[in-house]
Amino acid sequence: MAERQEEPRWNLATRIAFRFAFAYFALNFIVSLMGLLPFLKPVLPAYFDFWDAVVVWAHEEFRFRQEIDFEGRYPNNGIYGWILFLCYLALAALVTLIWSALDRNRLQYTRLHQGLRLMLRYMLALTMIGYGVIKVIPAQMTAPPPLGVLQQRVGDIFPNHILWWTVGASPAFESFTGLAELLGGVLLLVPRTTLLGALICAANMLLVFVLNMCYDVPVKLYSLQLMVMALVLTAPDLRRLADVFLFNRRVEPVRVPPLFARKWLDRLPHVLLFLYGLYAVGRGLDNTAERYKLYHPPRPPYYGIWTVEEYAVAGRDAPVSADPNRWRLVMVSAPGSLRVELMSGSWKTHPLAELSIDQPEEDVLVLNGTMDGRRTRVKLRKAALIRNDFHWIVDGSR
Amino acid sequence: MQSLNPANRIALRFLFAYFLLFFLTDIALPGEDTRFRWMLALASAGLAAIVAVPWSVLDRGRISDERLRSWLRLLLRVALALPMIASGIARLIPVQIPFPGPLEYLHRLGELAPMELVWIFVGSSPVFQSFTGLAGLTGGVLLLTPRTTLLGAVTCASNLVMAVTLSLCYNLPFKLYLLHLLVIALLLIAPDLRRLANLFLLDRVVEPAEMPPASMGERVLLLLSLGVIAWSLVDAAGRYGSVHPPKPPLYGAWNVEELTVDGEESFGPDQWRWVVFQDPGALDAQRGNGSRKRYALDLDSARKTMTLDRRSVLSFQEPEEGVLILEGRLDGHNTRAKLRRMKLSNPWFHWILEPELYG
Repeated sequence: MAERQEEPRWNLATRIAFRFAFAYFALNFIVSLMGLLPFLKPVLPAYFDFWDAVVVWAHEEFRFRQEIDFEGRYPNNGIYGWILFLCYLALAALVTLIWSALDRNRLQYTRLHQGLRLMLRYMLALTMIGYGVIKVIPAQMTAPPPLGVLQQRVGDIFPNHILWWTVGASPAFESFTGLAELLGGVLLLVPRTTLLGALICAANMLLVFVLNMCYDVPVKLYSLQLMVMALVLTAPDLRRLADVFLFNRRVEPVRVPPLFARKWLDRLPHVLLFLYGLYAVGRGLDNTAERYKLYHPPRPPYYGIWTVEEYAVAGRDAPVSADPNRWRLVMVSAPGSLRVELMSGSWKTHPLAELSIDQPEEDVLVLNGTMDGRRTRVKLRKAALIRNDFHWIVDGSR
Repeated sequence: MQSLNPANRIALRFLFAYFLLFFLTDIALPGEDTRFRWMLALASAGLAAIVAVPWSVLDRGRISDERLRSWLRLLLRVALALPMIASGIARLIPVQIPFPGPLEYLHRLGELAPMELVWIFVGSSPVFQSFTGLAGLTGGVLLLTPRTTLLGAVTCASNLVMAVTLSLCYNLPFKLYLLHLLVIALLLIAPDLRRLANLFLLDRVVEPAEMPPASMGERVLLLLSLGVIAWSLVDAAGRYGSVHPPKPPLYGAWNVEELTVDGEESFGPDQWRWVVFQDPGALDAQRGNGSRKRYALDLDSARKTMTLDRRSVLSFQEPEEGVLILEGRLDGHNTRAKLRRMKLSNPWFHWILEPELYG
């Protein structure tokens, strides 16, 4: 794999594009490197202060109308993130200009390209692993959604939360999306599977970016940047991919020129990346397991939201509209009591101890007891979204 | 090509018979995974098995395995490309999943079946629906030439893995059907698995694949798909108007924030809690007790008045975007209501996150 070969010349556009990509992604890499290496941590605040000052300066200089929100820093694409992004672009462009002027005679950057690929693999793999792991154990979107969310009306939910809770409504689906991200990230850890990993990451991030644009999720720029990273990693292999998938031509294996002459030194960064990636998977799974436990504390019996299917007072069905005290919805979040929403729209708490409870099916409760001095029988069914309702065969009666 | 062993000969004929039956029955009777469709699939499998064995034994040499194999490949391409193209165009236009009207915004999230939630989710963004349509259509179109079939099959397979997972996780009624399409895509990829492994995992030389010579079948496939494309476009264009009706003024679901009846603040069970302008000429009000009432609406945008059921005349004004104030006599009482448009009814795209927006 590490055979020497004639180094190809790059054309002018490729060289300029490479310098720009290197400068831009190196700026991003610095931050992740500082978080990674403990001895650089003391420098971190000063480095952030520097960029804060740059952003504040640019904000005043170019008279952005919206106030800077320092809470919404980089990935959230608040005004701070946008200005910082534009500053990075400007600085990278400046670096490209100077670099291109000074280094006109250079015809290719074979080694530096290896360096860029290592940076991109590190940043992309770690991000994909982070987002993947937290969904594989479904703990990014609380699944199933909390009762407070389940009792909201669809129209009262922001579009990005509709996306959020649609994924959260199915823990299995959340795990599936996490698995797709984790797979892409882990494949990036090995040089030989980097292309496959980059393609899987690109497909994942294309979907995420489009979702973010369509449902107004405020990490549009960040998801786009991750997709671009995956595409930059794919770029050197585009011709080989076209040969296989479009032109049906013979494709040779890749010859990667070595980064260092000594074999162990050449291997070292790849091995470190691989080991650190595996560590990140393990640590992520561990943290997510904690988070999952936090989101899924032991639930009281009958926990959930229940809709009222039948409501009978003294043996007679109460019509829906006539009785403002008729039950409309029942919520069980704490042990020993029911939160009941009445037809009038008001809520009351009803102790469970006064009722006899029968659970003929998993999703059905029948309550019998005296309420407000009247013998009452209520049949409840678990709310549709959290009901166990899987059917291979569509039944006409449902 | 080396000759196949008996098991492979039977398998080849079984697959051919089964997917021919699947394709024909799916054209004749498209639809959800009813009991009938499951029985049909089982019967097809049984019939294909019954046919495959004697066919393999008796037909030694008349139809060569190689030819049958290329026919199977063509059949699979037809059976996958046509539905991918048709449904891809229906979503691209987008008319497959209707935009959820504001009346649906009054449901509680928990009361929706998982499938209803997915429909509201996809329906809420026609752009996203178009994107999913484009992805499916691309896969289908790439299946149309032998050279791009592998890429098409991989594109279809990734689309279908998502679709099958969604149908399993959200109980969508197309599990059997989508699983069939996924299996077809995987069967189309199968002969190239070694080449893909050489490219993506082993970093070895990838030899070109054998391409079938141009045949009559290819032309039939192209012609069929041109027909499907034309028909899908016409069908989608015809349905566009009814799926995306023009929105009447004040379109959306509104929360009643304040209500005064005869000068007194009032929030009883019989009062309006939500107001919906969805269908032209109608105002739907949902009361506190959950019951719904539809009024005939006559809206005069110039004079800023609306007449309900030809009796009650209310004036309306919008002091700010997303706030509506109604004033007048309603059901015999002096009524003043302040409405605020529900979040999902507001325009929702923001390049820059406004911190107060999503709390």
